[in-house]
Amino acid sequence: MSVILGLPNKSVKVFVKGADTTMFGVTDRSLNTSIIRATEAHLHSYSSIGLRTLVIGMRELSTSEFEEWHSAFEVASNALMGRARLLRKVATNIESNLRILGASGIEDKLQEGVPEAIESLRTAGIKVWVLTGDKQETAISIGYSSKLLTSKMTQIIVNRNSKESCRKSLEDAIIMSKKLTTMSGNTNDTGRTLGASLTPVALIIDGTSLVYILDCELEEMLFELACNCSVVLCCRVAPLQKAGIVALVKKRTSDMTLAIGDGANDVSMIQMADVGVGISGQEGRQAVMASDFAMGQFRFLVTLLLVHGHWNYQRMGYMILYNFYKNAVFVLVLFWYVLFTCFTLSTAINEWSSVLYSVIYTSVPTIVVGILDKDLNRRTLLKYPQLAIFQIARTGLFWLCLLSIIVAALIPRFVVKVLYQFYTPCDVQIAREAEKFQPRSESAAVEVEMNPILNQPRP
Amino acid sequence: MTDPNRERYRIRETAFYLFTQQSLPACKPVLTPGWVITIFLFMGLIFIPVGLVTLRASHSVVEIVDRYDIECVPESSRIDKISYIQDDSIPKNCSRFMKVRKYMKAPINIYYQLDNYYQNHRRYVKSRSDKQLLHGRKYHDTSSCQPVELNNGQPIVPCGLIAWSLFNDSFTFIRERAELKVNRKNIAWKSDRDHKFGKNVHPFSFQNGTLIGGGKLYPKIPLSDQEDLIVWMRTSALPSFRKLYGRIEEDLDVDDVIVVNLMNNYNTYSFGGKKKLVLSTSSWLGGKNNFLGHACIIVGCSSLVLAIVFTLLHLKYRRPYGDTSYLPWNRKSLSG
Repeated sequence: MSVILGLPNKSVKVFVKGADTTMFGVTDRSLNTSIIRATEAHLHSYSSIGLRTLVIGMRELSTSEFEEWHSAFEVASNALMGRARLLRKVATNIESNLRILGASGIEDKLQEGVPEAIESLRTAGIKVWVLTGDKQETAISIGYSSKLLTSKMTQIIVNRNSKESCRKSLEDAIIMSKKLTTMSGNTNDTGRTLGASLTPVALIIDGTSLVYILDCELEEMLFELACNCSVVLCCRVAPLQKAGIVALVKKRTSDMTLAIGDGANDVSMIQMADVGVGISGQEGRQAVMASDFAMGQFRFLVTLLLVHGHWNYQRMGYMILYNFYKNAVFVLVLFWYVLFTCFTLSTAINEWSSVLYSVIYTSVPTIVVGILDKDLNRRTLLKYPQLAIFQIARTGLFWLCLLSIIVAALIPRFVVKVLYQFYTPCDVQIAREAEKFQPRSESAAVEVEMNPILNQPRP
Repeated sequence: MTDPNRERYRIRETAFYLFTQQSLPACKPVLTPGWVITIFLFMGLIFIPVGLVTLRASHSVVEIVDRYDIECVPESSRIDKISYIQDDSIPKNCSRFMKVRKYMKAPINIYYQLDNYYQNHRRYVKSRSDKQLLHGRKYHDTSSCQPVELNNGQPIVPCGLIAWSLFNDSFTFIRERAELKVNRKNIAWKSDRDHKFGKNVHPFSFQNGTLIGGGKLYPKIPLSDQEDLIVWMRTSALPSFRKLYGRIEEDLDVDDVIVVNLMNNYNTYSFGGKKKLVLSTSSWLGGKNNFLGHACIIVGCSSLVLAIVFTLLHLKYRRPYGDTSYLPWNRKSLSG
């Protein structure tokens, strides 16, 4: 980002700010190497204490340079095709050979309640990954302060510049993470979460490596590695790479992904995830407008997931099963009655009652349970996040149980009715038998039923 | 506290706010062993006496059932009962004996029971015209009564298969050579007599055709007084049913022998149906039906059994209420 200023003494200066890696790429190395080295040291110390760093540079422009740039800029900004590329080329031309003015460090305070929130989510079994555009040291120090990383964790850092070295690095990392997670003696295969929680491993990966990893076969290795780690921290991630990481997880598991962010650079990630949450705050409302849920602070995510998420899941499951049960009851009553009416279409339930059954008679309990049912207190759920874990396997069992109850309750009746059917066959069957043995006039009375309505009874 | 704050706190008490914020108080009962055992005990203690009382009421009903359709056909015709019943020249008198085993208090209901008779068959149930029953010949749209709608171009009143198949066995009761008076009024529902069958509607051209399905009706008597027809037109829901024939207003003592002279007119032989005559008293619970009593007793007994089983289990595997070591994330460390 740069700005060109004309000063009152008729000189023209260009001021540029940017991240340190990009800025050091465009500085005039020959000018002040000692200053550069000192700035680098300062930047390192700033980011170690969690400050977000920027480097500011400046260059004086001569009139001819300025005129040259100005005309090129005009041409580029009026170009019909490839305008962005031309503008970037013009900007790159002017942002070169800069003189370092200095560096700045800004403390981006964590919101209130963030460390506790992250801890609650991790206790609930939700994996938390952080994708940030900051430097690696900044990201790590923010990770420590938000309790994402702990001193007990082993950090695996993947920070490479080429595809081959990325591959090698990932392979080594996978071996090491496997060794660390199996060393604890926990070799169950019911999910990778359990294996990682005893000797936690943190993966720290850089945006430059992600360029080589995403969208090629190394994604698979990254996914495998990430699943062995309990925390993943990605630094220097571009907005599209954030979306790429979310897609990586989404495509490979049936788990739900949730992305939460507060700036315009999080929009692609929010839209890629299954659930997108936007925090409305200092950085504008772009994230809020792109999201499914919007909230004011990060810590509200905990309530959303652990309390409302749990309640909704449990209510939906309950209501679905309730619906099946009520429909089964309705249909089965009709079914049993049919056995008594010799399989004609007399219904045990009035037509209007059948229509209104779901609308009036059984709608209110279903609705009330679906809206108001609470199996656990809000306080309990927040205090014990592990309870909020959604037990999918249990629900399957519940369904099976319900089905078996219905079947078991009805088999004896079915058996009895079948026997009854065989013992005293209904009149249609008898009449059909009788037709074979007796003269037609005597079975005419029954034939009246079996012939179409319009015929006269036979004399 | 300033007024806007107070306003805000008052809003927080309203039901709508609590509803939208999901903070409505909820009852989350926990099934502790104490509660479960207590509830099952109570269920047992309530259902078993109720079951016993209902069983007793059901046993106090005295019922005499006599199947007469096979034995009222003379031996010679038993091979071909259908032609016997359809032959109008043979007199269909029959005498049956019913012995009273227990003292029966008046009023004693007389029912005829038909088995394997599907009065709930759909075409049968639809084959009637309620408007015609109320208004008589003035009502012309009786197409639902097909095929028993017209007879030689004349409308049949009452039309339909249900009326056509009217039950026409008749019974007289004699005890010690004196005839028992049978009250044949007030056997139909009052609402049917008043509102479903017209007071000015008389039977017309009824059972005049070649096919006779059941009994005939007196043309002079209006439909609202033809109680047999009204009782018959109340179609039953199940294939085995009883319909009220009349009431005996006298008590019957033990070891009385009732002689029943009946006319075996109705043809149930074509479809393997059964005819039975039932004399029954009634109790506050109704007729003789053990199902409710048995069901209550079974439920009560199983509740008591469960209560006992749970008590034994609780005493054997005792653990303190709220023991957190059984939470799933703690239990894994227990079992290693």
